Amino acid sequence: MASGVFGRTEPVFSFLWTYLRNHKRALWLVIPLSSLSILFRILIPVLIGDSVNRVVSGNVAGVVNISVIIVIISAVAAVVQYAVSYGSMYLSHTLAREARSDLYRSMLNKNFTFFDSSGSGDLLSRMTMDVEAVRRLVSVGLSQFLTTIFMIVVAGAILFSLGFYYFLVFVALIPTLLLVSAYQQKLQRPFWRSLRKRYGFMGDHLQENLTAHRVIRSFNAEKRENSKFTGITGKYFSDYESISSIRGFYTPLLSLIVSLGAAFIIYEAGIQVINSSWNIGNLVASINIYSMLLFPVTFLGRIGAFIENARSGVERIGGVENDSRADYASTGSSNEKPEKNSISYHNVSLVRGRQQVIRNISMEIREGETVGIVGRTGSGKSSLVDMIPRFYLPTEGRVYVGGADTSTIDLSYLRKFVALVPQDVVIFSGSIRENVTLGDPEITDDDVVSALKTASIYDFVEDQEYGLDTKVGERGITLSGGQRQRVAIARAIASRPRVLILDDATSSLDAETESNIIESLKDAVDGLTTITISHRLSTMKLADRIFVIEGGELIQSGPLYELSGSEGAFSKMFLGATAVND
Amino acid sequence: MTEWDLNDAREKYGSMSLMKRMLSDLLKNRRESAKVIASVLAISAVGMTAPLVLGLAVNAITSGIPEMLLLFALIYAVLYIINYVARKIQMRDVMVLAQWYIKELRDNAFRKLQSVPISFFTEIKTGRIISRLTNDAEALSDFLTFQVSQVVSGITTVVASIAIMGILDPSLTLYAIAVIPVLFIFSFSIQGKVRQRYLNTRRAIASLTGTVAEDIGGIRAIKGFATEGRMTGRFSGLNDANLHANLSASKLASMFGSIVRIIEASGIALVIYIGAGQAISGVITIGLLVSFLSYVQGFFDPVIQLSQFYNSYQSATIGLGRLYQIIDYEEERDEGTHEPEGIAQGITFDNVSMKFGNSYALKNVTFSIGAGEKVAVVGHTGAGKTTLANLILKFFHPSAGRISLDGVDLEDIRTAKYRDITSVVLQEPLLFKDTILGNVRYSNPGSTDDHIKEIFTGFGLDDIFSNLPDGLDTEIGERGNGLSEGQKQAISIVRAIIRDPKLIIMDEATSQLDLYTERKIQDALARFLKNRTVIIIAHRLSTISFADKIVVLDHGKIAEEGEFNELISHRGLFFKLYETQNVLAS
Repeated sequence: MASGVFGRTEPVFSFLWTYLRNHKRALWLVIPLSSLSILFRILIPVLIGDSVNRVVSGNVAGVVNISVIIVIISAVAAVVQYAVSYGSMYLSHTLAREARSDLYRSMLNKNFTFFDSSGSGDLLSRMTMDVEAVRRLVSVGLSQFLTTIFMIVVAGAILFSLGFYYFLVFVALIPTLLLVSAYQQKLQRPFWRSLRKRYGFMGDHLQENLTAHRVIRSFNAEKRENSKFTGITGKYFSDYESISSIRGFYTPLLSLIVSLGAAFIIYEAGIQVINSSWNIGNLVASINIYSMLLFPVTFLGRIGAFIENARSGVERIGGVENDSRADYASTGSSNEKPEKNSISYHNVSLVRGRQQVIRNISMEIREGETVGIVGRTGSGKSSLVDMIPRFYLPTEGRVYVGGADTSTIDLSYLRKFVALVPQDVVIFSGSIRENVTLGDPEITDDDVVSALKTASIYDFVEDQEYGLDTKVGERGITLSGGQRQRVAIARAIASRPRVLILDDATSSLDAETESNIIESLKDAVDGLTTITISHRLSTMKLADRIFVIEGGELIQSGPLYELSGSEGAFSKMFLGATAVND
Repeated sequence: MTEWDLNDAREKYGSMSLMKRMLSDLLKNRRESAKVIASVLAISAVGMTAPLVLGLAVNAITSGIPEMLLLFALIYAVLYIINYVARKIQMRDVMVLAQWYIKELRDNAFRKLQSVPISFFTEIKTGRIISRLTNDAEALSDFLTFQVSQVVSGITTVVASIAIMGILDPSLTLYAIAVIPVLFIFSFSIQGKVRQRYLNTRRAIASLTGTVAEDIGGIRAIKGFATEGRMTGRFSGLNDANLHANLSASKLASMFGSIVRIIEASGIALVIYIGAGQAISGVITIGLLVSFLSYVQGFFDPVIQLSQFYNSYQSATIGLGRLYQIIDYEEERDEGTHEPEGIAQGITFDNVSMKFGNSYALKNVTFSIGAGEKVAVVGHTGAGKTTLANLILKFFHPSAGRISLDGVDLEDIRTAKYRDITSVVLQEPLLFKDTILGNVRYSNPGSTDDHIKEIFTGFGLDDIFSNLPDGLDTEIGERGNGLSEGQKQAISIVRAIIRDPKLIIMDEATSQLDLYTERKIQDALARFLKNRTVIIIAHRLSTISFADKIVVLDHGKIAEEGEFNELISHRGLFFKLYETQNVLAS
């Protein structure tokens, strides 16, 4: 709508329209009412002008009437104004809620490659500040923008009725005003864009700094961190400085133009009043109307900043929403839900970034089997198992679960069927219960307790004053590395998977605890297929078969006795370990 | 923990004292604030004079003097040119001043975060701290940029207008200001409610932000367990709560604005009624009436602004309180004067206890580590091993007892200097978004690429990065994204080594490495650690082969202490641990 006036603003307005069109009723209430309320507001200077005319003609009764009319009109205007003001707040906050909700859903629906390369502080700032930038455009902008346009139109009409001359001056001013405001908006654009980006950097840097505070302290790196941060805030500040200079120059220019117009009218029309029959009331009224225009005109200057800020916000929200790295939807229409918990890899290769992490692997894991995967650091073990719950899609070949190609299995079914406990464990702030159930209402306290027992951490939980309600995470007690891992294992068990993958998820546990857990898994879950990645020989002893990975390739497989009996990567890898312990 | 409730932050300081402090901080930027004050005054002066000039112009017209009219029209124009210049300065400098202040707040808060005690981070969520430095600081922007100057100039305009009206015609002035007490009573009666509702909006957005931050951090768990639906449900609940909090605040704010308008109109009507009567009877001129009407209209606008100001003021003081709370947080004490260059005798634990809440992580621990000695600390998960490391690193201070280096209490040693001679491999590698080489250099900015590469090769850690296309120059993501845990750990080890420390603490430093790699680095590590004082925390007993002494912890107490063979023959806890691993491994 304003594209002609403000330059290429379409992305912002089409974004707004996506949300506002669902609230047409509120919109159709706010738009006419805001016009109405302006009509009332303009009426008051007209009435004041009229009262001056009546004073000149000595009409006392007329003056009394006008006082009463002003109060009545204002009362009606106040009600209308209330509806407009609340209505636009309603629209803006509803839009923010929906936009934020869409962004959240879209974010949650991204695949892992997206999160591998996104800064979490930056993502967070998109959810908060960027949505807020758009919201502010609606809350401040919508009613005021329409009001401004309407006010200009009505003011023009009234000036026309007061006298053609008043109108002509007005007509000369308006295009100048629009041009100036459009121009300053364009000047601001790059700075707003850079500002929003830097705000994201700030969040990223804070996130990184706060997470790694122990590293920073132990390496005496506090000063370097400070200068890095002040570097970011310094650039953020200088962007603002540029914007300030632009706005400082142009926005007051708009009111200057109007005021000079008014001064011109005072003189020119004043002479006419003196020399001919022009009436002074009309002159006063039109001067009042010009001074009333000052506010919307200043707003015209401000709106540019709002639009540009919102535009950068929309771009950054779109940056996430339009990112093609969505979670891999099931191919075909099948949405299969296999029953069997066997797994097989057929000529699977995986490329992540520019890096080939898995090379042509084929392997079979039978139902209910317990297998171990070993291999050197960086050999591709995690990438191999990450493909089972479809965290990553194989670049070539196929992975099957229960005989079904994983890419055709219903995604949510697959991820409930397969539970993967990663190396890097996540503990949410909340109770231990919440951390185990992750909010699943079907998991009872009994289930939680038995999962905690299987994960060898129930004794610890029982010792706590609040038991399952013990708060953990950032606002609760601090769990040790081993405790975190066991809570994560309990979480996986409680979700009743048919396939359980422990991706080096027991590295912080001592060997005894680790073996206890793996052994009790068999008793806890009937027929569970278990895949364990570990560097411990003791763990591998519990496996029916072991797969050895090196450089992304499967180089050896078989039961422990076979592998340790033969010369090969496996015995080379574990030779030293047994030697030390012997 | 309640200390960190966002409500408390402001209540603790009080809104007025926060504003006073902000003002005095702003005035520190003398040049900018002087320009701002001068320009605001100039704008108000124009605002006050313009209606007067307008009235004089009208009188010039009614009395038919064109020359006077021209003069007043020109004065009117000049006034607005002055206004332009003042506004230009005001607009730019207010914004610059505001952003400068926000930058100062952020920088100071960040600086403080680098020096608060480590325990601070267990008290408050990372997401909440970030939100303080980003959202809360940003909330000041609107307040300082738009609201403050508007209100200041508004108040100036109101006061000055009343003064000028008083000079022009005292009795008419009384009528004009008759509605002001009504306004005041109305504003004050509604204030408490408005405040409460705005507080609710800040709470709502803070808990929304905190939750989203955690969801982003835990995305792998959310997706891994296919709990997107439930997480979305939780998010929607908070998102809706945020909407409702805002709507309820908006409702009140809109109502306020409307009622003020009605009061305004009554004031204008009163002036017309009284003033017109006087003008008709010739007591005042028509020009004076016009000026009066103009003033009355002028001084209601700031009042309407005040309703907007109030919202902004609420967010600003809440945010300000939360930032000053960080800035005022007591720094980690570093009063030590001793500056050790190395370790001559060793480290001694003397009856050291460490309490978290009500439970002891360490209790009455006494042992010593000689200079150049390698001590292994073993024990079950949760036995207190990491706590012990944290105490040696001065991350925490013992609740009782003392730890000393060469006989000097760690508390008396300057922490920065102490950390110069120590190094650590933490259980969690915690890497930065940088190249691998950059991450290593973090601990010792002077080290060259070649030197770093040499260490990787020397320790046999180079080939585990051979799968990366750019090798050690590979750019890694936030928290080491894109690398395996073992690779992260290898980087963390080299990062500790490159500091060339006298004392090194290795907390499960090799738990994520494969056995082959681990074994490969043993020799190089043994050579490197020679003549250095080392504390190794390990589960895998294979990794403690080069320890001179082993300390076995059990439930926060030392269960056993001695050489490997001694402990084996002692047949105690260590023997049991060893047995289990051995049985499992053989």
